[in-house]
Amino acid sequence: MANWGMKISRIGVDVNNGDDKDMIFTSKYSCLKGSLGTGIGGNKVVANDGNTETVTILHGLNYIPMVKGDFSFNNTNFQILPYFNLLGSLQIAFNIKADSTNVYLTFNLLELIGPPANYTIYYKCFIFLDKGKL
Amino acid sequence: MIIFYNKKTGKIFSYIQGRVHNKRDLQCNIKDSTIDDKDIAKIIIGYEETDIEEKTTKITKEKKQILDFVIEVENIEEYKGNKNIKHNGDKFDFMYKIENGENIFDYKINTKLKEIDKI
Repeated sequence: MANWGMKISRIGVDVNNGDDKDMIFTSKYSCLKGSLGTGIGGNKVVANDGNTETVTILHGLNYIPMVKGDFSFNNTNFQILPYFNLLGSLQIAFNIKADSTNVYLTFNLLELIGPPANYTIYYKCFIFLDKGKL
Repeated sequence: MIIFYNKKTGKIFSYIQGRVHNKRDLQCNIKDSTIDDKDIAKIIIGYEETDIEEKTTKITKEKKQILDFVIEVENIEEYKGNKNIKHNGDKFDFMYKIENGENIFDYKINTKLKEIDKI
């Protein structure tokens, strides 16, 4: 019995004998089946004192999912995570990581010269279900 | 939509988008390092999927021309679908506002009345 039911190949590749990696889709392997909800959003107040603040999302999937995160300082223009930069005298280290239980969004701001301040960081996160494998 | 907020202040700090949520979505929890776990609460606005099947009736109307007359025909279709539980139906207008671009962080939860107020 075949280990696949349906395949779609890339242009120029014979669907009957092409490699799995050249298929746009093959039912032999699991594919991303959507995300938790239709997206997760939030905001976090982070001080520029160099302490790492964390948002922990308990996904309960029992496997390490594919994740995508974005952040913004104004809830309008979002940039992709991870993000490491020095803007003027403000050192920015924002990251996203996942394990089989949680997704972690970490935010670290360090002001090298100026006064203490708090920043509101807006974030968005997509937790995809069933990572594919090739 | 599942909204996570600080029970003490009513401040919304995170949310999961969507109108229909399955078990997986509902098991999801979000924590903030500056808020004690015991101070985090959530409110569900939308539908919860269940495994319970129920008979549902779908009615559609169709206009048909017969000779010189136009008649309206009503089609009644019965089918089995999953029962969805409605949560906080009175707050659906708020959910539609957020889906249409309003900023959810301009609102907070009135912890006494369990209502959503604009800040």
